[in-house]
Amino acid sequence: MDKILWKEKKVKRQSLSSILVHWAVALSTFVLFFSGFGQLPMYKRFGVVNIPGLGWSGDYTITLKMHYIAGIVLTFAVFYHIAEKIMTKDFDLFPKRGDFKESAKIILAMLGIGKEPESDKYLAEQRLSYAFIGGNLLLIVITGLIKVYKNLPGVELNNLFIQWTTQLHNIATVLLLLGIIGHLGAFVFKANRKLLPAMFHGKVDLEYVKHRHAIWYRKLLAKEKNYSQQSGQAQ
Amino acid sequence: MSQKISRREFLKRSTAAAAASAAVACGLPAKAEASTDIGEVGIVIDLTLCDGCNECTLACQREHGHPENPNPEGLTPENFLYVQHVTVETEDGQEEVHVPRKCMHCDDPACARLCPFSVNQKTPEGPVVIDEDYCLGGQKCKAVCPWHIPQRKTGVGFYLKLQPLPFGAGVMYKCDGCIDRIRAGKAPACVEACPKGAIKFGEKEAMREYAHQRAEEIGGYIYGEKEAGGTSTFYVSKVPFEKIDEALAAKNEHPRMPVAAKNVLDSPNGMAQALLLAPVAGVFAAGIAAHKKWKEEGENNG
Repeated sequence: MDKILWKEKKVKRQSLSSILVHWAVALSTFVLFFSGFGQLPMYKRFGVVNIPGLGWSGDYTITLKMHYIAGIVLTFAVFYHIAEKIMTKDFDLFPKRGDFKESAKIILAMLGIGKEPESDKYLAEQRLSYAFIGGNLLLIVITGLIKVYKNLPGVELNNLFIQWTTQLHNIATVLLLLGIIGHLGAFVFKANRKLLPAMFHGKVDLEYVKHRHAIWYRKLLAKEKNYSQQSGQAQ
Repeated sequence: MSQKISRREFLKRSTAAAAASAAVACGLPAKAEASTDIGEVGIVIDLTLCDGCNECTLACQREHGHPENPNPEGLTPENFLYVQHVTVETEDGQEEVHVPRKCMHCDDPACARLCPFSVNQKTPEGPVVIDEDYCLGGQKCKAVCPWHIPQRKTGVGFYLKLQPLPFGAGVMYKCDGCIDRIRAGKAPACVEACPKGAIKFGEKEAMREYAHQRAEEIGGYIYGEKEAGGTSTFYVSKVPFEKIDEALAAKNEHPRMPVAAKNVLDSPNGMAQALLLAPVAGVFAAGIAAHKKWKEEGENNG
């Protein structure tokens, strides 16, 4: 639960489960990219198999097993994340009306043009990036599950349906790769780097929150006030 | 050990056996003669009848518009059927065996299932067909095929349109089971051309029945029924296939004929259950996490 840690001068931003889900998705996605590209006949052609220690990468049976194992982790994490967000009604990361415009203002402000608008817990561009990356991940997981199902012995699906499933899986993979490049590229801007610790120990600097996430800060203060009033009444 | 069969199964098998007999007698399968609703087809290659004349090879080349070559050196992009000639040591001495080789048209074809662009697919009739217009020639199908059947032709195909991007290298070619002929109610070219009647074609289950019947008659063996999880091609031989494979290996012949050849999908399919259950496990775990959070909030709110 988000709260201000006055003594530490930090704000608790991410729960342990959010951190674990983030890294489970990140690591499994990395393995899925590597093993998925290995399923294309690329690694022999482009000499990856000649890199010391990567001789195995040209073996489709190995990369296919890797793809399945990482797929299990990603599928679990994605469904956990979606179900948990819905059950706890936590939609802070979901895009809001006006996010495109606000993102443009934030980016321009980081380039020294204009004033950055106040933000809630997440920046508008984070919400858009979440929708883009999350949407593609979901598409990849769903089409991946269909692909796994069609590989089972005796399963015969419509060939056109399989073809579209495969194309969507491949297209969403390319889009996800672009999305992740953008996601990591955000840290080129110094202003965004203060958010990084949250994905490791869940906390960010209080001062940073005050000046950049002013809307969220006011909400946290209000929540704190509300909580202390309730505690007072209870006593 | 006696095996009980149900009345339905008995009727199915009897019908299949009758269809097989009719197909063999007429040279054409009853099912394939009907151009619609053909159902799954298969072939039996009887090695006791094949004399290695290569008429099937020539008929295949003519059917696909390839240059005629009665003695090709192996499977190539312009030769989908190749007859291997080996001498096998048996208890009765040496025996010449001629083995027509081509795509086995697997029941669960790894080549098609694992094609990165799904341009290699199993048809409802059984033959596994590569879409030459969109294949990029990556040779993955060849690598995952237990017999490494598909062959690449470079300098042709869709990849040329993608240049200078470094994608693709040509087109993969292999036997298409004469799918167009089958859909037109005809038997595959190799079947029709065989002067010895060594290649039989018909409804798949009927062909399986026929292969068993033949194997029993000659006290022989079947290849292709169990290999790679099952195929649409049933070889029948009175010489054990282990010996044929040994002889092929000794001659450095390709493709080999490994008995009980594995399907590369066997191992990943063992993990499929876990993958297909992962969404349920994820939702269940989220339920526990959400419950904890509600409890914590309840306590905080007094």
